[in-house]
Amino acid sequence: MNFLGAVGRTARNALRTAEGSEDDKLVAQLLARVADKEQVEDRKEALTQLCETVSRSEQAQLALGSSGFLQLCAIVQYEQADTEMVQGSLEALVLSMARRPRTKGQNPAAINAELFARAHGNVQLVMGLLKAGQQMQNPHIRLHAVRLLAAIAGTGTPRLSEAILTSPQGVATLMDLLNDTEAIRNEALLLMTALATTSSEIQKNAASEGAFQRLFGIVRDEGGADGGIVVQDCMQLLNNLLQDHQGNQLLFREMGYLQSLPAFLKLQGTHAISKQTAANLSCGMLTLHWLIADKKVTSMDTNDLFVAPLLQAGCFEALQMLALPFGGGSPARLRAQALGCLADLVKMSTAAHEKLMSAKVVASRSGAQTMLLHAVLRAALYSDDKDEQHAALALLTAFCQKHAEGQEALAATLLPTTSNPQPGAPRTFGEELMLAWSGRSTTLQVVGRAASISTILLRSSAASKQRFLNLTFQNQVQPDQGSSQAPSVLLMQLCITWLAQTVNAQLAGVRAAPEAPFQLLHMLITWLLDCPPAAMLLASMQGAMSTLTTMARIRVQGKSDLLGEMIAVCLGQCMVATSSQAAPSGGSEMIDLLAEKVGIASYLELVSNLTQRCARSSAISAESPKKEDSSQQASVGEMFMASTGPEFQAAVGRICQQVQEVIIAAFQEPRPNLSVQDMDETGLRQQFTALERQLQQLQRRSHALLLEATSKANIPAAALADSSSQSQHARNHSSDTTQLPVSSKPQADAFRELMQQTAGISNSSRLLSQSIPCLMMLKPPQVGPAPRPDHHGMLSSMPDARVPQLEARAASMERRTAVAEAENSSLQQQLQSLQAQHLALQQRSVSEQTQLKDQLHRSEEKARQAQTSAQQSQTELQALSNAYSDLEAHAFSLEGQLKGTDRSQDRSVEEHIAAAVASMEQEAEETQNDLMVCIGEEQQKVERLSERLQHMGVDVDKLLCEVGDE
Amino acid sequence: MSYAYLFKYIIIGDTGVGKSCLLLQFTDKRFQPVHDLTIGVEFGARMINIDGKQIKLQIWDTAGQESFRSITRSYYRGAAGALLVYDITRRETFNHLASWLEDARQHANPNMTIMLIGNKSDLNHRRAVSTEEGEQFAKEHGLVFLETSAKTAHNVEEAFINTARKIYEKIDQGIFDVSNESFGIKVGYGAGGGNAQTVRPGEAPAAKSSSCC
Ligand SMILES: Nc1nc2c(ncn2[C@@H]2O[C@H](COP(=O)(O)OP(=O)(O)OP(=O)(O)O)[C@@H](O)[C@H]2O)c(=O)[nH]1
Ligand SMILES: [Mg+2]
Repeated sequence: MNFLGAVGRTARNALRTAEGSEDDKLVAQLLARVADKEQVEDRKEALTQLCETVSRSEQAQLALGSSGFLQLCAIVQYEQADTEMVQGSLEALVLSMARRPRTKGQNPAAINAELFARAHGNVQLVMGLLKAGQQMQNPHIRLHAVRLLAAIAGTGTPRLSEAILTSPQGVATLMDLLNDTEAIRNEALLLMTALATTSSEIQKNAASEGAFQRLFGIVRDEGGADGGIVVQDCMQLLNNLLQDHQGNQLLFREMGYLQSLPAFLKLQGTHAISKQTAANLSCGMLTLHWLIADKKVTSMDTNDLFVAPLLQAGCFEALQMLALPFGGGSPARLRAQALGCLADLVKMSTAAHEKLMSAKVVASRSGAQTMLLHAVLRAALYSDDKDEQHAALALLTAFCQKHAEGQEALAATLLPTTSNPQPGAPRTFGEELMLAWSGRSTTLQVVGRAASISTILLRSSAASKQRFLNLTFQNQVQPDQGSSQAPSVLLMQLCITWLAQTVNAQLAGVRAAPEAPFQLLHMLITWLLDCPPAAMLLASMQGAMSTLTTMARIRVQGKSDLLGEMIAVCLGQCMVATSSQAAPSGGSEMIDLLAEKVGIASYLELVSNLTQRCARSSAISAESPKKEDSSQQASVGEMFMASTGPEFQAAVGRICQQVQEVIIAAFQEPRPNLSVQDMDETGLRQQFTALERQLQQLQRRSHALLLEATSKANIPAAALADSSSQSQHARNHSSDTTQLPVSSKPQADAFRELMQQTAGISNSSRLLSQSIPCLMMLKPPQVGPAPRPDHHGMLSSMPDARVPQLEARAASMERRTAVAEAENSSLQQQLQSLQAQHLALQQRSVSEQTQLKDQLHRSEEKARQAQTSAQQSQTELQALSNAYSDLEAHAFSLEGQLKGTDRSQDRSVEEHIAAAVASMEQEAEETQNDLMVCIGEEQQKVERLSERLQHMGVDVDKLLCEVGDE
Repeated sequence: MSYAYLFKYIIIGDTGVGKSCLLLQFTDKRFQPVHDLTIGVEFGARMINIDGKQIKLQIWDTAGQESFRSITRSYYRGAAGALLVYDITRRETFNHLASWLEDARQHANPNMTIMLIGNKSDLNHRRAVSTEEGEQFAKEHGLVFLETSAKTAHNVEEAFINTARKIYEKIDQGIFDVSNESFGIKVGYGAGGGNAQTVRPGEAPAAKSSSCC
């Protein structure tokens, strides 16, 4: 049984074509010619042809891998005197590992590398060519040996690093190559770069062998960041040694190399940066990133250990130069990276924050200086490069987030614009930002970005929120009207106007600034959060409420989406603020407006949708904090929501809760404007009050039901969304399925009852309003209370006054009844969908149970199969060891036969046999190990499945017994 | 953080004898009562002072477990000093010393200074190897000897510093070619005369030009 060839053979079969099999034959022929030691010249010729064939044909590459390695290695080992043959053999080996641009799944280079590296002696053989004692070796042979190792490493097989780590002084040998000739050094750099990614032991060993010193030595000799691609290779290796390796990072620091990084990054002169230099610098900044941010293990005090010394060595200044378009002339990608590194620093260290606060830079061709923060703001507002714009925004966020005084200082530069603005370019952060909001040439995109930056300034700062309330724009062109004589406008008004514009643009299909409305709403919500004056201002602003409610409705009619939801939250903030203020009617006015324009039920749905969305996106961001690009299908809105962060999402959740409370409270308390005190003696009044009570009660109940229904609906929906894993979820799952039918049945009854009641009430209300004209005919004494002598002046006027009032009340009641009816029917719909959901849930859980059972059966079956094959392989092993004895006997007889022939050949035959036997043994052992692992895995699976089934209430032991019996 | 010399150390010996604890006591002045099996090698560093000269110690703590032997062997090369540690309460760790020495002789440079350390001296009541035996072994093989406790910190400083002093003496005697790094010694600026010229670590001492890299 030949295990060794198995991989190669299957691959070969898969690829076999007419041409392919010819190449197979050709390789076999060439190898035979190479083996023929009589024909010295023809051997060399054949080897050359072999190289040609292998580099031409993938099939030949595979063929050489599965049948030629032993032969080529033997030449390398035993014919060292003939450098031409050794070199040729090594070249053929290198070519057999060469990667090809592939379309199909097969990868001959990887297959061959695996085949080569799994035979332990092969790697040792090649390493032997590179040992220090072999300095006198032909440099070409050494070069080919490094290339071969680099090619194997390039395929990513872990076997190579295993082999190198187990060979004494393996890594040391390779590190010594960095002091070798230039060609060998360059190959060795690539080899080590690839190896470092496969094993942390190699990373550590290389560092202990003085890698840092050697790398910085080469970098210095090659001209630093202005050097060629070798510098990039060195920095790349440095990155791979430091990435995720706390030990090496500490070593790097302890040995004093932190200071070398800022020196490397420091731009020399102001000439434009070449492509290669940019690549070198980019690698250097990546190293910086590994050292200061992205720490998996945070047991170290990163600031003290890394950031402080880096800052001391001028890291901030070097990055600042790289971050700016002027001065260094670095390309956008580099600038973005430098801004990112600055943000890393600012997040970690107060010292860096202070530097950023006070840093001044040359930011224009004229040489005029501005604050660095101002320059960063310009990038955040106007950069055409998305990465740079994001990085600039992230830097501003970092600046404001951890250091309130920095945020305060920035916000303080915002001042109301005066009627005669200074000519020329804006000179402060504030002026720049104000200009972005309302400048002549501003665009929706810029306004959206200005909103994002304003959000950063507003976040959790009461002072900023207050300051923003007073910001006015004067003599600026309004988005709507082109007049330069426009009156001063509040920032809040401007926000609403821009919001309306961006929404309109979206409706009109303009794709220019898809994020802008979200950015504006994000800002508004942040602003209104915990700032009642802002909410009051918005609520009282002329036209704002109706604009917002209209926009919320626009979206509601279509498919509900984030925009409508965010507007609903914004409106909710106004509602909460006004209802808690002294003005008693404020809240209910808004509720009436919402009921009329959006519908309470739809409104509540919007609000609860956003709550759910937030819960979802914070769950997502907790799972994979940096996977923005993987969400190919995510809409702009969803991407935006994910970027807002957990704090904002939690705040939205809070607002939604408040909104619900306010609405419930509004329907519970009797409305003061509807109770008319002067009519309490009449039957009519009683009738009205009774009707009114009924209606209120009805509405209260329906809203209570609605809230209950929506909150109930959330749980199963969430459970459905992420039921894909974990027994914990399975538990939630099953409890929901048992609870829901119980609770939704009475709900349905209640709804039906409500519907009937509503219909009844609306009938009586209609009757009532029809009777009002009749009432008007009636004489005052018959309607009103008995006339009293001392009230003579009032007697005749009372009925007249009452009738319009009654009319108004009847009309209002009618309206509200209609609203109640509409809401009840929408409730009905919701209930139906709830029931449908619930049904689906139940079905799911049933099918899941059966699935789980199936799985259990299957894995039981697999476990049994694995066991039998384990037994098989044991017998095979036995057979193998028998075969081995046979082979040994055979080898003895061969030895006898070969007596008298060439000694080296004799030895090589022996070697071959021993190698073949050893590899067969090893293979058999490995297979058995694999099987053992397999059995283990299956058992684990069974355990996990049992656990889950237990959660679902299945008697697992019994089931297992059953399965066992089958 | 300038230094006159940098010495590379290696700590070897059976598993559980207290190698990692010795290093931790030396670098952090802490004791770790739980055995945290070392995987491969760990790194530690500390600055010491000998005769007014700043010397940086770069210390590699290796795993004592047999299965890591092939990995740890690659750290012998380029070590100027070694602490060979056994546990005075476990006889077998003493019995294995010879094989550790054999390993060191094979893979390290012949001038490496080796300090023999009998650790856990605080556990005198459970002693299985007498101090005399330790001294005797050290004498036979030309090693320096100390008994230490990583728990009480007894003799821990001495173990590391005396080794450094020995290496320093060898440099003075000209036994090492300090420019050859395979001896595990690196020279900083302050090495030569007594003048307080400082080194900017990270740069090779030869490079006097200001533009690093
Ligand atoms: N009482 C006492 N216990 C010690 C002393 N030194 C180490 N120990 C204990 O011995 C155990 C092993 O210590 P380590 O330092 O982890 O052993 P090690 O030599 O590094 O072991 P490996 O990493 O496996 O090679 C730990 O439980 C320590 O608490 C000591 O001086 N006195
Ligand atoms: Mg240890």
